[in-house]
Amino acid sequence: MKRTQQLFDKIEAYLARTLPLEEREAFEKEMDENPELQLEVEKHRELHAVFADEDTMAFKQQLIEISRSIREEEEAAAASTSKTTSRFLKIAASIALIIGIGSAIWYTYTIQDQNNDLYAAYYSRYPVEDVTRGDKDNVLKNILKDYASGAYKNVIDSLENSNLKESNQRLKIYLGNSYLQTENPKDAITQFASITPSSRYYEIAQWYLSLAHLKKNQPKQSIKTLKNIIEFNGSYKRKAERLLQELSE
Amino acid sequence: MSTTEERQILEGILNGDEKILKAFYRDNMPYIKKYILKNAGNHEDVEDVFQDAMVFIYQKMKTDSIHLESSLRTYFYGVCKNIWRNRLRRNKKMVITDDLIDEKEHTENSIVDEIINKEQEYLYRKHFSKLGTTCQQLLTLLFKGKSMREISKVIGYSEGYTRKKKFGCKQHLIEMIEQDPAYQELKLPAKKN
Repeated sequence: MKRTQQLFDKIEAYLARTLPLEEREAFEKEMDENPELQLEVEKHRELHAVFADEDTMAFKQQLIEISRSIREEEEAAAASTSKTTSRFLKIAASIALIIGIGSAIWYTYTIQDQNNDLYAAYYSRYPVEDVTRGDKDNVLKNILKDYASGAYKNVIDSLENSNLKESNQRLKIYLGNSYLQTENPKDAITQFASITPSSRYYEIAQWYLSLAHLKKNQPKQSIKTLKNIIEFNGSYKRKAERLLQELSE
Repeated sequence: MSTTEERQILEGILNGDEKILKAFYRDNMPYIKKYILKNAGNHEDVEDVFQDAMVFIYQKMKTDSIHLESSLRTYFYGVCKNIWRNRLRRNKKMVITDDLIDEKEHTENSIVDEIINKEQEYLYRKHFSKLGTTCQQLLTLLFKGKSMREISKVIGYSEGYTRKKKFGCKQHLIEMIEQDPAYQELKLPAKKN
């Protein structure tokens, strides 16, 4: 049985009970006579049943992000033995410049500077949105007040010690920005990466994620995220294209 | 670890507490990784089994809590090992003996049956996470019951293009699932709980 767009539309309408009665009855008769169609409908039914469980989907997505975050930390830890070497290299680079050798080491340091410059050029703090009806809660009001006044450590303490951000994805954006403002791109990445594709804040989270990777001197991950944003084709596409171009130069 | 601490961890898993989940991941991953790699698994299998076991615990906590006869760690290891044992048996990768699971990790038959029945769900979610970002977002909205008009507004495409994209994404997902050898073993429609 050939799978077509029309077939899928019909099956989905049938499962959602939006088919007019006559069409529904005709479709059921067709299913009775065609076991292949019946099987196809059952497959769709199973898929819809599993993925309708949004909580479990979100939980699974969270685990995937945690796994990725831990892997990155482990890779960074494994590379940390080169930290001492790179500190030595920075000192050696100055000397090498004077005596005219080791230009490759200086080039690496320059790349890090360039990433910092790009970050500074493209980053602007996520603005404080007006207090909405749901924000009559004083705790939330105080968090937004702290954020607006630059008291980022308070924002971090408040949000990390509560479950507020789990029910309000917008708060993860504020928390991630607070981490960026306090020179902690690692924890910022965790926040932005945990916002799922179904959230209305997903695109903006991806934008800040790309900048956080840049701040952490991870241009490859930044490029990957920028490509995601471009594919997403939303309001950050143009910005992402520009930054991607500069990063690739 | 005290019972109170274990209860806090279980609550943390249920609430999606990032700190608790991360700590749980770090604490228990090394053992499960060693076990699965030693028993005919690869790194992808390690992540799949570990995450599916955590999803199992999350869903049990959502529906009817968990009664721990021994420690949480032993319970969790038992769930992981039963998932892996079941997958090895389906793939016929090696001879399965009872040595694969320690006596104290031995899980009640009802839990083992639940694990087996959930294999289809795990398979679906595994392949869903391999889809591109736009496909994941689009299908998530579809499965939430949103209309094509609503989905097209969020995604930013025209309604006609969204419908076409939806078909492509869903077809791709179904085909990935059908091509998985584990799906052949499960032989859908799957048995219900």
